[in-house]
Amino acid sequence: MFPATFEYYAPTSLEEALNLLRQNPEAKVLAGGHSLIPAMKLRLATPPALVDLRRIPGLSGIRLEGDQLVIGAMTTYYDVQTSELVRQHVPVLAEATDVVGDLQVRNWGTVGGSLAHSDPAGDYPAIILALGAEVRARGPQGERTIPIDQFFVGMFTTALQPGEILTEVRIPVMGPGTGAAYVKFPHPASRYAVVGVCAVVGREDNICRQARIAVTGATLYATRATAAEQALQGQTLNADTIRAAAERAPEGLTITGDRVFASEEYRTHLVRVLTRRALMAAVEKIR
Amino acid sequence: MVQAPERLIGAEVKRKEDPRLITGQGTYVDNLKFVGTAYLAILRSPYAHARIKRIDASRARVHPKVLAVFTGEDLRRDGIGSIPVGWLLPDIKLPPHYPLAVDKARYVGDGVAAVVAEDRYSAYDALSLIEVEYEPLPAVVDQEAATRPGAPQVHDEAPNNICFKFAMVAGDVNRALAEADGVVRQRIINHRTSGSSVEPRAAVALYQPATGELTLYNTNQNPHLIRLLLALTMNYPEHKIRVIAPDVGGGFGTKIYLYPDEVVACYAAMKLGRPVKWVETRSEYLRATVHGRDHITDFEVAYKRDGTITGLKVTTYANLGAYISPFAPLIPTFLYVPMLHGPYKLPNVSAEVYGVFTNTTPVDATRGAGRPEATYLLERMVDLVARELNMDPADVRRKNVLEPFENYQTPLAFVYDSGNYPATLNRALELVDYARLREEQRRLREQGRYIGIGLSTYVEVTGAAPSQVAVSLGAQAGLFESAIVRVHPTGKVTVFTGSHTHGQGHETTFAQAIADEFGISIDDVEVVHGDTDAIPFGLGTYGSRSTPVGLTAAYIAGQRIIEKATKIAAHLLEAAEADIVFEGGRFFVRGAPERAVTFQEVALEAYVPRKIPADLELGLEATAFFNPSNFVFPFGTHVAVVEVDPETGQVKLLRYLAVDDVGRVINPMVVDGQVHGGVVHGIGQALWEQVVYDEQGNLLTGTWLDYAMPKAPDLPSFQTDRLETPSPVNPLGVKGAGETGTIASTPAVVNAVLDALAPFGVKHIDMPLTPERVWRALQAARGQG
Amino acid sequence: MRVERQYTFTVDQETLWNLILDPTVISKVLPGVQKIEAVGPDEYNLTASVGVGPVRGSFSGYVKISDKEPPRRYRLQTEMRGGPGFVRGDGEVELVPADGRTTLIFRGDVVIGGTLASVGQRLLDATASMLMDQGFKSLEAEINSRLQK
Repeated sequence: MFPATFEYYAPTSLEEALNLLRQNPEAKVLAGGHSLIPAMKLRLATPPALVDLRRIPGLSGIRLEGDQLVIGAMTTYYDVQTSELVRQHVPVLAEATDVVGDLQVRNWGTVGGSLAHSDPAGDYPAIILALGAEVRARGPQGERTIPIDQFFVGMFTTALQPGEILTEVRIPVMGPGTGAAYVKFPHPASRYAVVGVCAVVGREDNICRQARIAVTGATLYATRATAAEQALQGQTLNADTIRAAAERAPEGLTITGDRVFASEEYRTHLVRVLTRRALMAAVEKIR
Repeated sequence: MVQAPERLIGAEVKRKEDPRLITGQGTYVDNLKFVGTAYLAILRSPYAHARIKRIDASRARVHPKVLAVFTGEDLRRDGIGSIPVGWLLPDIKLPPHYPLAVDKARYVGDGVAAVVAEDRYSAYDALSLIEVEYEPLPAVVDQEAATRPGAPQVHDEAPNNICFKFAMVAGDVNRALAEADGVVRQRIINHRTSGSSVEPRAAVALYQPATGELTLYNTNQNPHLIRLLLALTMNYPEHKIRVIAPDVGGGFGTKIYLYPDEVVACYAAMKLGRPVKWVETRSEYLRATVHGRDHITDFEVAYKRDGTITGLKVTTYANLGAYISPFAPLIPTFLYVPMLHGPYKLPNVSAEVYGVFTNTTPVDATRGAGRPEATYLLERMVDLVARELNMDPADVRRKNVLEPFENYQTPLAFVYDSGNYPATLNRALELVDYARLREEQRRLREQGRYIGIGLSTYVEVTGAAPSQVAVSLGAQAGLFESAIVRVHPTGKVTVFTGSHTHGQGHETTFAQAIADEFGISIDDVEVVHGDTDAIPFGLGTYGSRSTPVGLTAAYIAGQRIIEKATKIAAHLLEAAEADIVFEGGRFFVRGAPERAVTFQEVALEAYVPRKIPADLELGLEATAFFNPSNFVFPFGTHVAVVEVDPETGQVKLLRYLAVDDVGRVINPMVVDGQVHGGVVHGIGQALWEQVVYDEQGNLLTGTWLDYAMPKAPDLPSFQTDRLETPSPVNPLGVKGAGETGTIASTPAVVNAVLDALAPFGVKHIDMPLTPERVWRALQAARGQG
Repeated sequence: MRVERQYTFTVDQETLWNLILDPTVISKVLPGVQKIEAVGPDEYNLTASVGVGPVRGSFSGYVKISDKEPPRRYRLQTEMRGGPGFVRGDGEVELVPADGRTTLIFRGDVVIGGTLASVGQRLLDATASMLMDQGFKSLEAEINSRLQK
């Protein structure tokens, strides 16, 4: 576990960080480091330089702006988990954080790191996707806002351009008549999601007005289960309609397995079961 | 402060080693710093089987920080030999195991070259500069497939990859099968696991050219044995080698052996004349440190309608991996086959074992070593018979366990020293409130919830061994243990033991027992271990032998001290030796307890003689070598309660109870710790842990992200209880407690899961019982239903 | 691992056959190829730099095409080695025409070894599947760009 040689930069402003990335196109951005550093120690990643964002002021913190909860990219899981604002306005995010990694991961890992990394089994990508958030990024061309539906484009690949830094995520606060839940089947070793499903349901007069369901773990990157969403749209919300919708969750998803713990077939089964459980729990939480 | 005797043995004394270890003051090998240390890294084969056609290290050699690059040829040229095998069997094939591969790499992780550099980073950098031209060869992973004609050959010396065949017979199994009311046949796989100590292996080798002294600091469980093996491998005089195992962060069997990497570290230190440090990474540990278990077994069991089990026929293919690790031949033979009676009357047993080479990491003892494999087989057997007869598994056990005994000659080989199996079984059933639990199970099933109750009634063998017996069966070393007890002039005591503690707590338990023996405070006893220059020749710690053999040696040395101290006391008290009584740390004249001297006063007299005559030898120190007359056999009953989610196959462990009888208990807290750790270890195998290779021998579980260690949130709080049936084999009446948990828990959990799945008709699933395996078994059962 | 994957292209069998045997196309379709050199008929040595997320490794090795049955099928063998491990593939490429379009089917055994296999298990199948899809998409892009010309 000895990484290859690399340069380490600790800029104190976003401008400085962007400049460093411009000067070192092969450099990697370091946030919490819980995905990048292990890869470097195994020498599976040998970036010539790291640009550490930790000393840049203003990149972490949680605030309410109108009907959006704004979370800075360098905010740790622990900060989210213990935030009263999060508990009040997007409770599912705080609840789901309980099952992210372990204590050390939650103390070091960051919201922005998790999203920008787009790990195929990460928890936050699915949750933030289901919540219909948007992501702000700063790059050489200035600042832009990326709707979350356009953000995850592949395994470990996002809409972020080279040299761009994710600065914050903006989540719509959950209004009355909405409920959300994240259900995770953790891998016994890594605690990554074998399958994780986040469901956000909007209800009016017991009719499903909106459902956003996002899957992680089974797919190459966090992906919406649109077939299940559509199946539920406009339906009366009950165990039968939810079951029927959940059955369709794998439709259109590229599901891959592994050869040790969970095959493609089994993960497909879990996508159905966990979608049903997430929807049931989400409906239960509607306030 | 002087304490009364018998107070410390059996007392919950907090571990003396813990303040040091939990405040970061322990000295592990990687903490050692020597001026001028160079760092070693090993280049390992990425191929499971490949001919090494060429090694070009020229680019690595010119790296500015690289001191040397060595290959297998370099070591051979300098007279470094093959690592010896410590247990031989009739007709065993012994292909060489060189510290670095010379002709072929035979598993993923086999060392092919070594780099020594000024720092660790440069050593690892230089590994990527070595070019090895491999010719990949077909590989074989499955030990049964390896014996079939046409399978890839791991060693030319072992046709069909068979290293040895081993068989034992008691009674007439074929007749039992023929006369049975029923026969169950089952194939079970006891899969491969990793010992996974928290501290990986590490070594620092130092060489003094002027004196020829070679010192190896090393993570091991048995420094003298490592020294012996090192002397033989390196063709270097044993008395010029010193091996020190300082604080060691867990062994679980994986640190008993001399490994190639440690030999290379010693060789490099001698070649360079500088201290050489090597520290294994976790991903190296998972491929280069021995694995455990890995049996494929077919068995047939004969039973009568009333649940009596009459015969067991077993064929096992034991995977040895690519080379014979030093004690590998012992594990699937003498530690497995003679235990195939378990705690049962079972008169007819026959077993055949094939030890087979494959292109995988070598397999040797890990916690339990042979007995978990035997117990797992037997306990699955009992439950399968119960299922066939529609009997309660507890009743089948009651029917078959031996009555209480002392010195029971089992039909195969061992003489069990002492046991009361019905007592632990009944105690366990009582503590879990078995009848109520079954009732609850019925009630929950009606609600669509599936809980399962699993029993495991075990006996295991510890305290190796009567040395003459071991040597006659193939051991290349005796299996006694040694101790020196040194009483200092102030009456403080140092115990030098040949046992080694790497989590077992000997610094506390040995001190407890010796303090009790002398009637002194535990604070007045220090335990020294782990340094061949400090301790008498000892065999180290494995197979739960330290308390029954190692502590007994110290206790016997203590008795010799008391004998001599009594002579001294007699002079001090001006009384006849025969009239001196030793009690509570005081020597006094029988009938006149006020005429007394303390242990401390006697100690002082032994070194500062005022009254003792000139012909009485000075000093107060004794050495003992204890060679036990028999093994000792702990036993017990464990109960696991699980709930299975029939939709996902996920297993949740709800409750775990261990009732053990490990003979007399020195420190209940330490034994509880051993039981907890052991139980977790066994649960890990049942539910999560597995080393997986693909068909070409590529290791698929090379990190702890893939190899699933048990974790606290997945486990319930354990309940432990004990009965104490003293062993007649040693004066303290103790047995080993380090492996019982591992041995008992695996089948308890598996039986519980299969009990939960009984309504679906699922009879057996191979471990680990991952959610997908359970789900698939349910799918298959539903398909049939 | 046994791999079977297919992709349908909007060209006829003959055109696809010629394209996939063209070294300039091969170098564009295989992931991260930096250098390709012919060492014999239908045999190439190549170096590639492949990255998936934070993981990036340099590989070198060969691609060999044999047992050709134009324009239907050939055998494809490859072995690439690098710091993170090795990838070995041996399989059959089959072209099945239908309505002016052609389906390319790859069936074969892929062996991944070394550090990649033992520490990247969680992502291995997903990565293999992603790289193959990338390859097919690159081939499609190449076809489209040639058709436009």
